[in-house]
Amino acid sequence: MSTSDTRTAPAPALPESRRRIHREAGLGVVLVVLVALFATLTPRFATGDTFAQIGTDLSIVLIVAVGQALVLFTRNIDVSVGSTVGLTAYLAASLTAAVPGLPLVLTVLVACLLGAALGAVNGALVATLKVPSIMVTLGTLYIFRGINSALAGSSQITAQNLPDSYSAIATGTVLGIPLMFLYALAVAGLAHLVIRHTFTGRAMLAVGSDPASAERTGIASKRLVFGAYTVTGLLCGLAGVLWGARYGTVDSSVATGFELVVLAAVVVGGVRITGGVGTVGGVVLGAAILSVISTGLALADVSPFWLQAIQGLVIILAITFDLVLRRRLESRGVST
Amino acid sequence: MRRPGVGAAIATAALLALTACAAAEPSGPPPPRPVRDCNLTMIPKNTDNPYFAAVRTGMVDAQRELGGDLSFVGPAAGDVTGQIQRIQSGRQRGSCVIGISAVDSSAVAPALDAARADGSRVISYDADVSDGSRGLFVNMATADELGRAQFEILARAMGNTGEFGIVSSQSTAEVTNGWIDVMIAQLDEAEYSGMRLVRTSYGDDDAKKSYDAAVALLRAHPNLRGIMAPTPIAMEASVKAATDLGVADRVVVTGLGNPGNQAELLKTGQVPAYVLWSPRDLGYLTYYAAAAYTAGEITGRAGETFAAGRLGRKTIGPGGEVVMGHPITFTQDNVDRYLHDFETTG
Repeated sequence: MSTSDTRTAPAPALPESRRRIHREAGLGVVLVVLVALFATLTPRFATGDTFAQIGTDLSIVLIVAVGQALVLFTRNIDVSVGSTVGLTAYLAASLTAAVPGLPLVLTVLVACLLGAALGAVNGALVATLKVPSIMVTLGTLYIFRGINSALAGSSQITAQNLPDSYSAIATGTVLGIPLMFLYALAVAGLAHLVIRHTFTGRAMLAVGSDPASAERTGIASKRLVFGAYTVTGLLCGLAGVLWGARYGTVDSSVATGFELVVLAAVVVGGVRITGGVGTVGGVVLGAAILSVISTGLALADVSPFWLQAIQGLVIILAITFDLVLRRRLESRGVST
Repeated sequence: MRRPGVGAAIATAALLALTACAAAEPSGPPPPRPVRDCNLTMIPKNTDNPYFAAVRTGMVDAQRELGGDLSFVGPAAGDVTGQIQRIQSGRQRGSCVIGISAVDSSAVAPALDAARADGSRVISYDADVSDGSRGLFVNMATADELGRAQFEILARAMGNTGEFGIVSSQSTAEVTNGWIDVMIAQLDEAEYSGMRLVRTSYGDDDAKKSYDAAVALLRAHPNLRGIMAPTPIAMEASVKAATDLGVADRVVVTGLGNPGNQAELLKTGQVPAYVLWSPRDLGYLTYYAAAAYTAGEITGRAGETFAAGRLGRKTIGPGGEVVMGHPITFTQDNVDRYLHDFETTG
């Protein structure tokens, strides 16, 4: 029964629903094990406060990771997301500081449009130039950051320059659930629907799975690639506003190196870096796993000098565990 | 079995290494050059920081009085690689003086040594580099005074009792580490025996990392009464973290603040007081020291004096250290009087 999954294209991009459940089940088990582990290590971990913090913490990563996943689906990559978040964070915060009466909705809209424009630049370059996307976006990583530095100079926008309503985006809760987490879930939910239930979504995976035959079947792959980058830029714009709201200080180095955090979440979430494979649900779990690890280690009061190394080790263990578990489940699925 | 060749080879290698070292050593101090004919490379920790913009203002003040060609260049965010690149470009431009506020005191040393070998004079300001890699260090105030001034604000606000944590800048920053050592030494005094330092963490002068470090500290230590933030970004982040977690009323945050863009923290009462000095005067003094150094008026020996414009005559102390003055404790009552010292130009 599982022999049918590598023959015809673009069909292989459509994972069997059973296999998809397995993939996410493995990650789900990893998440539960980690939560249980940290809960026994430190009693402070298993509290509503901690889960609210984890939810807030993973939101910005998840929003950008959803975009990154779309790009990876098409067998491309966007390493400029950190710079895009930084630039839009700076522009959104400056706009709010300069025009205090501006409705927040408008700020968010402007930031998303700016982000989408930056993403469109990436998308147009990747789709038209026959240059690997990692090179194109490495270039724009520096260009966007350079523009940010030139605009910001030595200025810093601090929480004092921003209206209280701005930070309220990050601190607000609904029934104890952080607003930021709800935004992130909404973004992920929408992306999930598009990927699973629309032709565009399935075509994205098909493009990444086998570009040549996708082209032959009449899929406009260039347009899809352009679209994936533009959506990623838009999500970076949203993340930029949230970044300023959450961390208060916005300068020219916001979100430096953030692309690696995002990539980690996406890859831990089971999205294949060579395209065509992955689910949005996996990305949600990937972001959650990383956030549980960093929050748990911080609560366990691990020395800051060891924190990163231990974090890396736990990530590797988690991925290995997921992989072993998944292979087991898959082999059982085949034998029955 | 004897292998006479090996000994000879080692000897030759050692000799070669020695001559190589000798060639790299400056053959004596470079000839004096008046600052008017000089270009000076002044490297801040990071340029995305209003504090260093105010330092630059002071340097430009002095440059107007003394002449010379100033390039104030540094990495946007504080990274050591970016600083080393600026040292190398200063060296290639043949700068008379390379001045640096070091992100990492030892990592920049080899590049500075190479620049010295090429005839540049090296000074450090604001944050020192390893001994031997610079001729002068222009210090804003002694580490002892700065450490005590910050600690006293915290101790008073905590009523001399309770747990506190530190959110610092980089773990490699020698100056901040020096203050922290002073603070830890204070804890041995009977007066402060009720205070306990639970953890020192590092936010690398990055808003997100500092915020995350402050949140981790507050959550891991529910009885925390205070956060010492000996760098403005960490102070801002710690105030925000305490507010976001709803513990601002029981956790006091203080340390090093920048009145240039953090006067509001004092006026709203979120921070009772914080410490700094005049960055503008520091830039001004650094330029004057650099000018006297390159002109050959001073060599970095203890006891030498030089004229520093509006700041009067300054004396070089032990270890080639020029101390500008005393730290200033800013409160909501006095902060407005100092805003001139934090002006930024361009």
